[in-house]
Amino acid sequence: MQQSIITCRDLVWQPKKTAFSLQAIDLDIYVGEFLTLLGPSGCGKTSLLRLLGGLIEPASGDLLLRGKRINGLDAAHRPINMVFQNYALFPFMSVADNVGFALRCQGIRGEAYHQRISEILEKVHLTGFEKRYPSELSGGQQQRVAIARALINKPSVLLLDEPMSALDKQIKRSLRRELKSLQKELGITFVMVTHDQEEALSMSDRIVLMREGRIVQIDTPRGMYESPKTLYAAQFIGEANIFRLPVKSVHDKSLIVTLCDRTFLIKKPLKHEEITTHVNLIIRPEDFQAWDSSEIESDKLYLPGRVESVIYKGSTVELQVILSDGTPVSVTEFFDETDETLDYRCGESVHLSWQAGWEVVLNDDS
Amino acid sequence: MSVSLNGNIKEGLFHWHGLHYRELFQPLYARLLWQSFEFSFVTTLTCVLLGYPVALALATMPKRWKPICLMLLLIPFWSSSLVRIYALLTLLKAKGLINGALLYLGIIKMPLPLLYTKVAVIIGQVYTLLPFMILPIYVLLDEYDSSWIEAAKDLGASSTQLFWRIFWPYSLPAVGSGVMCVFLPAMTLFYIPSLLGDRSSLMLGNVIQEQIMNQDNWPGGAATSLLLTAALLVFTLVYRALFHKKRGGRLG
Repeated sequence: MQQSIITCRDLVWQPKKTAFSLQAIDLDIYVGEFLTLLGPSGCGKTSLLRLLGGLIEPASGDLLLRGKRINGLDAAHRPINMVFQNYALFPFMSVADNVGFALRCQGIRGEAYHQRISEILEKVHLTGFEKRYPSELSGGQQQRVAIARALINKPSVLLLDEPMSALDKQIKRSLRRELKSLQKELGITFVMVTHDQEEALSMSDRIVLMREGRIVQIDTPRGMYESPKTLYAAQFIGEANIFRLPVKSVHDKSLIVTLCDRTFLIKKPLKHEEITTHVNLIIRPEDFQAWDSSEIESDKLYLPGRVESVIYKGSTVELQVILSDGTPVSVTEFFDETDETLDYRCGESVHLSWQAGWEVVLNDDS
Repeated sequence: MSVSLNGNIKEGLFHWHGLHYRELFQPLYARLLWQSFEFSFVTTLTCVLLGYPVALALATMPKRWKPICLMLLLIPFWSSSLVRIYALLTLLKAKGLINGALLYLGIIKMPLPLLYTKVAVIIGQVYTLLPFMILPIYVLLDEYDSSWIEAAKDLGASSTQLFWRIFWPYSLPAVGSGVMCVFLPAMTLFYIPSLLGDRSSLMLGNVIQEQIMNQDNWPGGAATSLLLTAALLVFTLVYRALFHKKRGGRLG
């Protein structure tokens, strides 16, 4: 059992004048982890971050820091600091003045003041930038100034609100790695808000997936991708082919469904009583394999279809296939030893199969 | 300006009048220059003290009130400034509104001598020039980023620190512009001291007016104007040295 630094118990936030709210937020944030709050805009991820930072107050529920209730404690007195979206750097202050702001507010001056600033600037690799102004820095450098400014008081938790949104696409990738390694180096708990699932998958220790003011699922990136608990999670994280299929019969450890007039035996991950007339079968594009007619003996276990479009992406080929029953399906094929010449033409007929057991079976989202 | 148009054709149309510049070195002019400076300084300081809170309030008030309040601020200035000074006369005179109200409330027994004093001149100048202080400060403050407030609070700033460490330094260039917009006209306005002041509240502007309009002494007026211009130039240079230090631009 990992030690939690922040605990949310049944947290509710209800702003005036809007229909939006955060409901029943239960969340444990562990010491030293990189946690991501993920969801589409309006899902409440930023509000949750602001609740943690003390910029807004919950209507009910408990917010605990190392087991102590901190509801009502203002932002200044929480050992939690925030990196704001677009960084909120003070443009009329130099880098050193921005970074030292919190120290000046506490009346720290002289040798100690400058010492702390140069220490923290060294950590974010900005030594020598003290006298520059924010407008003279690149987006990545501004981000590091914002991080340094938030870290100067040695907080236990650093909150980051969409830290990558203000950056160019090209440098995002390298900054992800940089931010992740900075977090490891500092050993501080990071809680980051993002709407970018790729960012969440590549940086987080755990992902908190949110929807309409509620937490949908908390899992590791791998868990989130490979065993989504809801259709929403399956669709939001990565690409997913979802087939809603009638259940033919239910057996002890399996159930039988039909797809394109073919019967498939699916190992039963749902409890018996949870199975209704329909189930959703989720298959990731890369779990499909496409064969041409000469490669298969009988087409009984394959889904027949026609190639609609082919997108070559260097290391992969993405196919859009229309199954015989008219369902569009995404298929991603990798170049590897077994199949070096992935040569597909539009209009070609193909037969799809998937690795048995890699499918995910879910009920409809309630 | 160093050459003045002279009515006397025999002397030629243009003529150098070195004498008038020598006159400027009389202690009288130094005293008048200093008095103009004092008046303008007090006017400018009062405008900062009154105008800054108004600008801050305008910038931070809810969006839907802003246009209304800006209109209320600007509507009086659609009428002639001379007319507004006459309106001040009716407020300040012995049987005017202010004295009347104070007498009615029993705060004073005798009417206060408000009109034709230095205080009246200051009131007139502040009233005329206040919008030129409020507007530049408001325009800059209005563009503050509300996330600065949150960031400052998150970093432990109290409300006082928020003002003195964020709003004040941020708005300082605008205060500088406001000071220029108020101080320079205050040095040269002549009709306010002549309407609201007495003989002791004369400024350089009044001297120029007197020389040109009443004494028909155009060369003298020109020379005095040059003195005033030179004083303003010095002031502008001092301002530039103070406010145009290298500072970072805004975030793009």
